[in-house]
Amino acid sequence: MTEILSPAGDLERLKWALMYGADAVYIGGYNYSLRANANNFSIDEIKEAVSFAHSLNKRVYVTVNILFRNEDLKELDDYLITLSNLGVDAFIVSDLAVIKRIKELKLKPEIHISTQESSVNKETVKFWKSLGATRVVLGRECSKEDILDIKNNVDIELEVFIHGAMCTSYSGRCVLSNYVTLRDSNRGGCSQVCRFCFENDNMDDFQICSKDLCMIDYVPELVEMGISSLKIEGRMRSLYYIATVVNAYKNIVVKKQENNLTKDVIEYYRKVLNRVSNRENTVHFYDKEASIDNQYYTGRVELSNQDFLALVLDYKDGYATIEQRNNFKVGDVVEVFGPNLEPTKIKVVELINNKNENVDVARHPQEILKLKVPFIVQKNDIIRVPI
Amino acid sequence: MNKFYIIPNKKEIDYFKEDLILPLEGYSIGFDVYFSIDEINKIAKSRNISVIINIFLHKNKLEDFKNIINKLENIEYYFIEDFGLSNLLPKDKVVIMGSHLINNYDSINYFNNLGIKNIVVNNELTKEELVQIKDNTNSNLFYFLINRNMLMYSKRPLISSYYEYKNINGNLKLNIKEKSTKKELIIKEENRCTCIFDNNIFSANVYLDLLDKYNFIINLNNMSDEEVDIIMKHYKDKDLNKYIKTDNYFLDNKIIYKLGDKE
Repeated sequence: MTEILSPAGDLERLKWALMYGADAVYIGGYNYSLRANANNFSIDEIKEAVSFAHSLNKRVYVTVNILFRNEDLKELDDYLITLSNLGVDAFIVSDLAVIKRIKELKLKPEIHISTQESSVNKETVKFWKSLGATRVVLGRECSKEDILDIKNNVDIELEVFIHGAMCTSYSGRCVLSNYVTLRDSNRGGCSQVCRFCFENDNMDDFQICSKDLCMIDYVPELVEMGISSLKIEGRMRSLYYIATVVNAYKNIVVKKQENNLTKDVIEYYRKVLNRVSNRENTVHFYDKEASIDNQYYTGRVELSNQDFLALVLDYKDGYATIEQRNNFKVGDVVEVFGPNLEPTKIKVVELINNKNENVDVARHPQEILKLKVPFIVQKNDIIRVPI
Repeated sequence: MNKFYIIPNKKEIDYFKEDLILPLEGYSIGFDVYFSIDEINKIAKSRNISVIINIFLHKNKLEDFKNIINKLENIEYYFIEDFGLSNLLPKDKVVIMGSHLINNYDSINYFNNLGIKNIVVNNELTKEELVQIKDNTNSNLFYFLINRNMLMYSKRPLISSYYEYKNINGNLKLNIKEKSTKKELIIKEENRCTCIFDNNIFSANVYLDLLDKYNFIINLNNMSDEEVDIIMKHYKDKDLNKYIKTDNYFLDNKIIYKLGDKE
């Protein structure tokens, strides 16, 4: 079974990711994680995360993937032991010092090698396996040929990025952030200098920013190859983004495994993913060498997304209690989807506010309303603009 | 403690008296000159030669590498970026050169336990961190004493793609500035990959005494002839910066932003 692995920047996102189909989530603690700007998890929150995930028979991986300086090593043992005792399923690591500690302390969580190590060939993956890793997150620069060669020659779990932001550089091999903004890219402080603008006497708008990754067309192939885990990037993304992207890929994988994946399904979810993304995306390295299509040249266009219309809080007697997120009105056609609900369109025929008055428009942010829905919906289902 | 040069041209090899590290043609990136196997073998007959293999080897390149690597003769060290190549080379001759990755003595000691006893230490560390490392390991340590530090290595043709988009032609090596900070950088595209370098020349000469246990690498690539001349005259001097503008910011300043720090 191919795993869908979702990011989770906080406990709420984690719960949504798991509800919407993720088989596992990766999270960062307050220490030693590469996304300093994500909210990240306290020890108590990790405990709750593990408990919640395990109750659903799902898994939690914790990133301990900074590159350690001498001073960072001091409290590492205690941190690893604590996480191990909480029952996390794996550590995602980059630094050999962490692998050494995990082995010396005989800790139970698996060792997954972070994409920061840019593992792109079978010899490198063999090297990590020889150190005790059970899984390697491959470099995002891997082609199909690279992945197949590794898969066919090393008996180890492979994890492949399928969606989200890309580094311009090989991961881990970039310290532009250190030199340009004095933030340590390999200790959680990356300021994404690759998204800045550069100039010289002849050019005033030189850019090196990469478009995002979208592997929807190749997910079925990756499932066939026996790739263990398909990874979505974005620990700082919104709840709606995580629910939507996870749900899209989970449905594709399930339908592929059940042998009923059609072109229409792929096309539908391509539209879903394109709608939820706020940047352009492309396949990058899987099917060809990097080319002109992979970069931005005139500034990165970031669109704000207003597709998320409302969140279902409850359902009773033909009415869903909802919390508004963006404007919609009576007469609009909207789409409802959820962890147990295939996307289904309905026409908005009746909206009732908390004074029991009929209203034409859901216009107030987070207003609680009742919406007539002709089928049963559940708490945490999402209402969005139809795809 | 030994000194190694990475030389900027093939014409004046004899001018550089110390041991040489030669970038292997087709398997290295970010240098001004590259050396074929025949050239390396020829030079290695009369002096100590090491080679650099600092690209990531994707499938086809890896297969090619397996076919050619045994043709190299009398090599002192193989400086490798891709850890997996340590499976294919004599462990005692491997030097791990994971750019920016080797930052602490625990990692170095772990490599040592694996039989890999030669390590290039990261250029972004403070002098205190470098001293701590040398005091806590028995490994054979290397350090870029003088270098235009490589700050980024990408598998993307960043310059030619830009030219293609703009429908213009131009050089594949450019001096650029980041617009908001005015930080000066050098960007260079080779074989549809791209590297970015700091425009400042890094030098740790002022701390030569502290770094006594390190082997020093002097990389003369990505420098002008004039810069090479000055460095060659004064590379042993603690006050190299009297003769040429150099930078050692990270040696003196702990980077202020990491997880948990307050800005």
